[in-house]
Amino acid sequence: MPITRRAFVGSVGAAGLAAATGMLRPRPATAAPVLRLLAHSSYNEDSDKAIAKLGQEFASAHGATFQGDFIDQPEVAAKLTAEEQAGSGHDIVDLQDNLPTIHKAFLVPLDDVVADIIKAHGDFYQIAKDSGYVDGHWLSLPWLGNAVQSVYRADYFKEAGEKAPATWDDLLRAAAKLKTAGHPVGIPISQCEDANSILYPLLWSFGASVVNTQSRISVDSPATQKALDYVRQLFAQMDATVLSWDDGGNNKFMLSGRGAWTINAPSIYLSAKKNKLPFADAVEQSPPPAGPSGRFYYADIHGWAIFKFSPNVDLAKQLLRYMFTAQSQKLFLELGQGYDMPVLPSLDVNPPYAADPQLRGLVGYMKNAHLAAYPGAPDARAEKAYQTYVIPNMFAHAVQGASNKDAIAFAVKALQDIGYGM
Amino acid sequence: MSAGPEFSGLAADTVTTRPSGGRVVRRESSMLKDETTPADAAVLSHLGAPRLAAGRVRLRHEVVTAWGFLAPTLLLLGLLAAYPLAYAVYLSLTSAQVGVAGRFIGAENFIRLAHTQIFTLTLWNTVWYTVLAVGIKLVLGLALAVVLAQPVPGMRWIRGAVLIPWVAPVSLSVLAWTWMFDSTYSVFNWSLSELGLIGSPIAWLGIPSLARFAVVLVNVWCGLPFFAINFLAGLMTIPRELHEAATVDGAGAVGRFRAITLPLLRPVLATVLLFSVVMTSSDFATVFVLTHGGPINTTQVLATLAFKLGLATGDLGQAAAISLYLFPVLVLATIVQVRLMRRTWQW
Amino acid sequence: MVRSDRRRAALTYLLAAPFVLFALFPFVWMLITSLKQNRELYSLTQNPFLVRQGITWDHYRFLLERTDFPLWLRNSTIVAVVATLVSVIFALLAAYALARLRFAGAEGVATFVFIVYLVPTTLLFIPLARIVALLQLSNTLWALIVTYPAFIVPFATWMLMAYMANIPRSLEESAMVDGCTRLRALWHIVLPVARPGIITAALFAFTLAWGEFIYALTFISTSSVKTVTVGVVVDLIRGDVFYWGSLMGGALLASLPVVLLFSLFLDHYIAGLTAGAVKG
Repeated sequence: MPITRRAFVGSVGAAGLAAATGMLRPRPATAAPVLRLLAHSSYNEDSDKAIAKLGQEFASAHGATFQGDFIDQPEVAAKLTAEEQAGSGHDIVDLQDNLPTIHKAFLVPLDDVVADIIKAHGDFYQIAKDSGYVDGHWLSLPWLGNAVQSVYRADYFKEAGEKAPATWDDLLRAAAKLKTAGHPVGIPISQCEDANSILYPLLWSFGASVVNTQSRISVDSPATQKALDYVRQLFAQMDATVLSWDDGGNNKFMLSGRGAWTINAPSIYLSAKKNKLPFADAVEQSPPPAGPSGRFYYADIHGWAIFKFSPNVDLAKQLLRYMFTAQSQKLFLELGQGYDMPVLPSLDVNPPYAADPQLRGLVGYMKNAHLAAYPGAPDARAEKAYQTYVIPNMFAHAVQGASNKDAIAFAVKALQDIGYGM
Repeated sequence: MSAGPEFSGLAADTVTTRPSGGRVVRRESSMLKDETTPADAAVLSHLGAPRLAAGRVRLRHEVVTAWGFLAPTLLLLGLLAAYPLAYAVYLSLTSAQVGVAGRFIGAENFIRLAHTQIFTLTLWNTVWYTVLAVGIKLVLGLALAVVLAQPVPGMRWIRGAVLIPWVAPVSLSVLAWTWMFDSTYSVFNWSLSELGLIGSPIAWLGIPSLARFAVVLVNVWCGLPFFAINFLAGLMTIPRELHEAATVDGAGAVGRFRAITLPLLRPVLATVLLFSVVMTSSDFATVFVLTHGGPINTTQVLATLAFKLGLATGDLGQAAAISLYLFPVLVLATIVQVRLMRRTWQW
Repeated sequence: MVRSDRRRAALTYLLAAPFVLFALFPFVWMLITSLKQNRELYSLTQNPFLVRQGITWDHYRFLLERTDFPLWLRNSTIVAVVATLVSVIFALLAAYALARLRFAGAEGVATFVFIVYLVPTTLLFIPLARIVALLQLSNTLWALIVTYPAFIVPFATWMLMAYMANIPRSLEESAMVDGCTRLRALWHIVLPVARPGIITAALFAFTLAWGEFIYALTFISTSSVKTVTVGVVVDLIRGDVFYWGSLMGGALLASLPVVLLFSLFLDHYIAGLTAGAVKG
């Protein structure tokens, strides 16, 4: 009988099924515990590999196996919720900023681990404490932080007769010249994390804030209006496309050669060097501009936490102790190349990237840095405000024709909907 | 008209009666040359048994068989769909946050949402998105189906090509669109600027009206083939004689379309429409990958908002309520559809 | 006659052209982008429609060697094939019962089955995560194989119902009169005749399973276990760095299997739909 199409498909299907079932046979129950770690995928994938290596070293020394999963940062939050609902999943998880507060009911207190580390290395930066210390307990062990800086084309600025902008006014003045020269500046005014990390500290530098120290809405203020007026003026000097930027938007803007200035993590500077772009030598970094109320710094803090439902809590704690040594921290700072920064002052003395003049400004950054919830305490509402991009949207309204009053009213309503009181 | 021209599979069937009284049906499928296997023939040739008593035994048998056949599906759906759905409904009636078991608050989530700025915009977006996208797919789908129904050489390839957007995974093909609308490297901006039609790049995904246009465009791109292929199938079942008779009577193409094609397509139209309304109103990947709901939440739809609020911020009660907001409407749509089907199958 | 045929053909091609262009352009785009060197890809002076500075296979090489792409393809295939098999079997039985057997509650069951597919997967995946964990299937392909049929079966049932309704009842009834059981009749008589409809349903099921995103995203964290729809979207983005060349290459390669499958069975697919179309 000639091979019919059905016979072919049938046999392939059968073979596939056999292979599949073979591959899918449940793992035989082993006595060895499995330590599972969930983290965001670093800018440099060697950092992920280094974590995995540490985990495996530790695991094999303790008769266990290690499994590290490194995923895109936005997916981490999704995974956390799913695992908590399921009551099982990873043992150690990477929690950023407000997450320890939000997930506090599921986290094992790490006071003992943190106490040992503080004894060995000194106390953490305040911003790290803001994130990891919740309701009287350390719920996450602060690990590394990420910062943002001004990154700009020194050659374009020189042509325009300008230096790196020290204040927002300097920037505005330079922006007009740069736009005429065909190399505008750009900051995202869109629903992306970069927009948050730029516009929150911009507000702070004008003396405005989203909420006050009691976490009550404080965005309706003359200072906010000044900030809105400023950004409106700045927007007139930028490409309209900044309204559509995602987190890679300003990267592309700068790396294509068009952009003259933006604020970002060091990834733009590092990518330019790594890809040996023709203008890589002209890319420089400087602190973010200062406003009438001074210069403010925004940072994200990553910390390790252990889920209460983990079957290996003690082992996980030991792994955290094993991971957090001066030596390993130095390694990660090296691999991070400036993208990742220390959360301990004692480790911030002459970090590996300080040798690079463009990254030297990052030394000691965390001392004055704040989380998005500043000056209020981190909580679920701050996370919601952050995740629904209330502040970038307020600015987006303002630059597209809304009056200060309307733009602020929008923000206030959004914050009230989230649960903040006036 | 039970074995009409549309069911060519039966036309070539042969039925022979064996001496023992049993019957062998040899079906000649037009697509695959598959003979009755020896095993089949053996089974059928043994059916020399006396006829079963008809009537009530038969009927009860049928009922038992029916439930037996349905059991696997009912179990599967019960465990993996009905239970989670019930749990989701329960969640929507509580103030559950992740890690904090909620208290029962009744319809408070739903009511509060109706007063929430971001939600009312999202609901509005979802309704408009659905109406617009489905409407466009309907019209274009019909047009495309008529084109695809023409018996011209190479039509097989055209049909295949046109089907590809629906077949390819949505999350991946939308990535291509994201790149095409990119703020710096958009091919549309490049083309328009090369043609001298624009001076500076257009913020496709940054201006609300354009972003909405983009999202609808991509959804239409993905879903149009589904409409077209189903309508094509419907068109192919309309007997030629009807069209020929109408032409003889003097009806033009448009007249025939209105008087014959459309009415006969109604069952297909209805099902495809209902289907698409359900799929489009709960669409996630298109908005998630293309715009993430921006700019300023003008492309936010219920599915993406629920994901963001529920997962990113752990507000489970609210997320459940958001997802379920359109549920009553969709239930209505299903009931209508089932009624339509019931009329067809005479339950 | 010949001239009007030719005119009709010309008109048809003319009308079909924009649709075909519209449908295929993004894929041509994916191809071009995936073959461009980075320095051309990210250059503002590039011509998006041409590769002018030399084709590179680097992006595909990166995809195949430095990511788990081959594993993702394997995983997607396993999940789609098994889920399709399971779903089609379940749907076949259910469709047969609903379309051809008389019993009280048929309408109720049909309504239940279809209401179930209305529940958006973005809602279900949280409670389902719990069930998946209880069954100890988390982070395995079984999690997907078990949950996919839940949304595939209703679709497939609907399609098969429409198809089955067209098969004359007399077909298996004559066999049953002679003593054949219902199941045997289904297997030996109705099934072969319903093959086009089954192929259609199977293709549909495979497409749904292959392209599913949310469950795959939620239930699986380990890269080597991911399916291709999630792996490409998630693993080729690191923070704010998108690897566009490989993203497009991956998107293209991952779409190929389903497209190939469809092109093999296209006629069957349409025939299956045709027979079902009359009954809606």
